[in-house]
Amino acid sequence: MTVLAAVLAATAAEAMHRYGQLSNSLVKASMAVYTCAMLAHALYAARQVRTPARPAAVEQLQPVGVAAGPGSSSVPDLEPQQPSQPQSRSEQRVGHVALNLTILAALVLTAAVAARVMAVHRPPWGNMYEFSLTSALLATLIYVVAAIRWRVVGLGVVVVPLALLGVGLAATVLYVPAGGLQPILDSSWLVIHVATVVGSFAAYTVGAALCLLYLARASSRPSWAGRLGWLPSAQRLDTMSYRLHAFTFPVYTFSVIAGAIWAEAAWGRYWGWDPKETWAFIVWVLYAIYLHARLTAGWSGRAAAGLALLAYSGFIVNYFVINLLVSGLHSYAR
Amino acid sequence: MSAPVAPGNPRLGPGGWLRWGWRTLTSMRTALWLLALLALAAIPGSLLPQRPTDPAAVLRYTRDHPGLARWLHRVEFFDVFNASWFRAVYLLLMISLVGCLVPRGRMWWRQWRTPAPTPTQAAVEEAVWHQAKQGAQLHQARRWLRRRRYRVRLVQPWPPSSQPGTGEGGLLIADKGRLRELGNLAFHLALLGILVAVALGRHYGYRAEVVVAEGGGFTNSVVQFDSYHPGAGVAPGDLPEFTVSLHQLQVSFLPPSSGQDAGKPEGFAALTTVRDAPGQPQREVRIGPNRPLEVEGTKVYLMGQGYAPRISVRDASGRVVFSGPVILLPREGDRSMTSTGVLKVPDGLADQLGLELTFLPTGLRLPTAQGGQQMVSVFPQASRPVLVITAAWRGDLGLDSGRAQSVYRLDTQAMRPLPGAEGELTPGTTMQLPQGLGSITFDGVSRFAGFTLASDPGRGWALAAALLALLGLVVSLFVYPATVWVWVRPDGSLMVSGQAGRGHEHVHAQTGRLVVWLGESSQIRRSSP
Repeated sequence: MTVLAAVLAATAAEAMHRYGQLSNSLVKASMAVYTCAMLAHALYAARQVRTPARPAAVEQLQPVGVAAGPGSSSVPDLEPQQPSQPQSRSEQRVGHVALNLTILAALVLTAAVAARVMAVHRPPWGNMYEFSLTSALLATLIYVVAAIRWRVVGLGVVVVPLALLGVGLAATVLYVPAGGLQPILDSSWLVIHVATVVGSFAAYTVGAALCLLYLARASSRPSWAGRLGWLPSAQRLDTMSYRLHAFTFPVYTFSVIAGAIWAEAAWGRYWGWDPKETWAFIVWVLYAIYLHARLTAGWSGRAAAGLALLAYSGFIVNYFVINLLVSGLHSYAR
Repeated sequence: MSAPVAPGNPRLGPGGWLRWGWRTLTSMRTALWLLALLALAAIPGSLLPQRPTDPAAVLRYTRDHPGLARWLHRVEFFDVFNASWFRAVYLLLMISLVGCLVPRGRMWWRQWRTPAPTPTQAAVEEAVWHQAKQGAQLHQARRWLRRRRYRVRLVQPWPPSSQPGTGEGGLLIADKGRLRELGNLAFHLALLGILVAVALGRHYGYRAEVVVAEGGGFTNSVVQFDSYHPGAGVAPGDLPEFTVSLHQLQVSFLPPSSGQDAGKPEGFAALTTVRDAPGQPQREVRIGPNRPLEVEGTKVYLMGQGYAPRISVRDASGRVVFSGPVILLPREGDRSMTSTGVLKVPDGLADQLGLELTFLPTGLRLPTAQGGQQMVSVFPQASRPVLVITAAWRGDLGLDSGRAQSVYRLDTQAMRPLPGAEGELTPGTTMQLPQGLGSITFDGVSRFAGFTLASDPGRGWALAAALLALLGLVVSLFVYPATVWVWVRPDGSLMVSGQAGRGHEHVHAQTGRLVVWLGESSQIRRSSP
């Protein structure tokens, strides 16, 4: 019996090791494809940068069937549209190549994450390494969906490098070999709480990318505004960014509530101002201010985009600074 | 300071100032600034050690930075979330919220009960209209709108000033989305609800800690706790009287073959029997991470563990003067679970005795860099347990001095060293104490469990309020108010117009769909000449 058990354990360890190795190779492969996708996006952007011949008059595109009356503002809808600057056939082709390379990178990274799951037999978000891989993958997927639905391949100019950065940091600084979980993490709330945190992190990343593009597009410097004519109009970027943030906020709220329920089961209190919890609260408050400012106070444009970026930087602090430098109950980084 | 009095205007009396202050406090802008301030105020609480969660870290910090710490204490930075200024911010925010919600709630109630307002003739004429196909009927439009949960109301004749008999037109007013504001109100009310639930839970709840060695147990009563933090509304007699006996604490560690994870804990389980109340039958309960025991609203969590070597001390004649497990605390950050603590023997010997102990679960003698040898623990499982007496003291333990004393530390003020007592023991071995005091025997290894007991009667309410807040949030973000007008012209032709507030422009897409459904789209025209 003991011999059999030992053999089984050895085989399991062997399989774990092999899948772990496979996953590591796939992560490296995905980084190569991500690099290609990033270069293709750079090419896509570079080919369309034109010297500022036309002023920003192209912005006033009206959606079909709606004229601006005095009572109705003229924010265009998000139906698929051409970019505000006409594209040549070859420019469109570069955009397709960039998007397809991104999809390929996402596929390879999906395989890497799947191999990791085979190695560890649990959801792939038990430490910072796995969390970074999964959220980079999810951010890529959100971008791909947005690029197809909203025709914003230009968004990839920001999102793809960010995803590559996430995977790169994971593979180098944050790497943890395939292994088990700390006993306190062994709970079904790991699936619910951390999955929704990964989801909101990824979506907020894409939202922050939209805000950056918006700020560049809405810049009053003519040299910028003219060169970015290939991006969607500033108004459309603003609307997309709001929609994404409005969608993500309840998801993030839910993840905090789920975390509180789990904390109650694991530590005997649902809220204890642990550093991670404190920053989750700060980030929540900042995004709440953003939504209020957009919805009620009627801010839009630069101030709102700045607020959203501030909130996102809070998320980044919570992820990197609190996880790596401040010790607390949530110290599961490694 | 900008005074709200413009030159030439009447000066504000005290009532006016009060009203101005109230209006400022309850304005959205102030609420947003207060929210931002709350976020900012929370930051020091995450970067500095906090007394409620880690008092030892606060002491360490105070020792390392005495000058800075004095100031930080003064501004309550070591207990940010109970600090007066933190409370002030969130109380102001609560007041601001209430001041904002009451009028909004009243307004919402009025709007809920009254039908959609009839627009002015000018507004109708300014609007953008889509013409439906010839022959489209009003009842078709009405059915389409009703199916999409619009409230529908017909104003006839339209324009109101038109002469009866000249061929009457009419205006169908359809609106929906009043739930949005209800969701908004529910969200903000629920946030207040969370605060109330937290306060209730603190007032009527308690927390306690108790450390028990295998074979021991505890009753849920104040005298048995190692620490006890009751809310203001809890009397000692309110605690449910259940009893927990710890039979065994199972702990497993990842084996040395698991590479860099070797020695990490793999699983914990406390095997206990629980008696819910005196006279009730016992039940077996397994308490582990994420699996607390619950008795009448009090939950018992397994929060710590370690070794408790069983030790006997005999006097010179061989009479047992102490026998039992001694709880030793694992050194912080030491994965091999080297544990330290003290044994105090107050009675039965010629003098009171204090021993400083170190326990090595897997003790090995390894060469040191200096060329000597040192006993160290290489693995947390007790496979080669060694108990080391590192120092011994005799004299007055100070237990009767009335000063509070830690059970993990010796107060050696009134004691003198007892040289020659240092030594290593393995299970079953006995060592003579110097100066003819007696002997000490290492009987075997037990474990101890650290339990946290928590009762929070507000937690269910807090969860309900949080879920209500989430529901209200979703409704307020994803229900859009929309108004659609259908104008029946005196000649019977139909015109459709969608009215949208900022950010809800998809109403236009919807009206477009209505026009298509009615037959044909869609010449846009302004009705005004």
